[in-house]
Amino acid sequence: MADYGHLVNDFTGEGVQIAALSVDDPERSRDLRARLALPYPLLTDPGRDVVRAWGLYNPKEAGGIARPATYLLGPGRTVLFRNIDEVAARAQPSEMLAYLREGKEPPARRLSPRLGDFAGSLVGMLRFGKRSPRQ
Amino acid sequence: MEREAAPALGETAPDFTLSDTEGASWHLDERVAQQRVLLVFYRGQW
Repeated sequence: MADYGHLVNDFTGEGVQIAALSVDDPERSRDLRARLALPYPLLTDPGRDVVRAWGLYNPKEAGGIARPATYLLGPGRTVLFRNIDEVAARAQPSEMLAYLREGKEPPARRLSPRLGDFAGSLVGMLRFGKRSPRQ
Repeated sequence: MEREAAPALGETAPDFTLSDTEGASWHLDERVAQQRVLLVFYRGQW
């Protein structure tokens, strides 16, 4: 989350706007956005409608939350890239930038360190897993 | 409507309109008409 915040200008430079989405209520999201000084919008889906419609609803955890995922969407909402957390791994914002600039695939999934501390758990929100199949 | 699988590469993702933390309305369809959108789904703190 914070990593994307630091790189928001780089993404803007690539013609990409960033938004993040969770099932948190607006108050919680506002706190998080302020605490991390995030320069992009946090969208709130407390009714879980969008995460359900996107097939990213995980009912098994914490009363039902979004599976961590990153999507790059083009005109007409076409999926240009996706990365969904199904194993303990994540891609980094810098890897997303490399992908945008050079068409470079983010590195193969890597094991994520055990996340215990608060900072780690924030980074953990960005965990992703399986790469989109290239077809 | 609940999808079985999340939208895959090349597919069309579902449209939505949600509020941001400032209460402003954010409509995906309008956004992608302007620029590509990087949408990060995060677990949140519930």
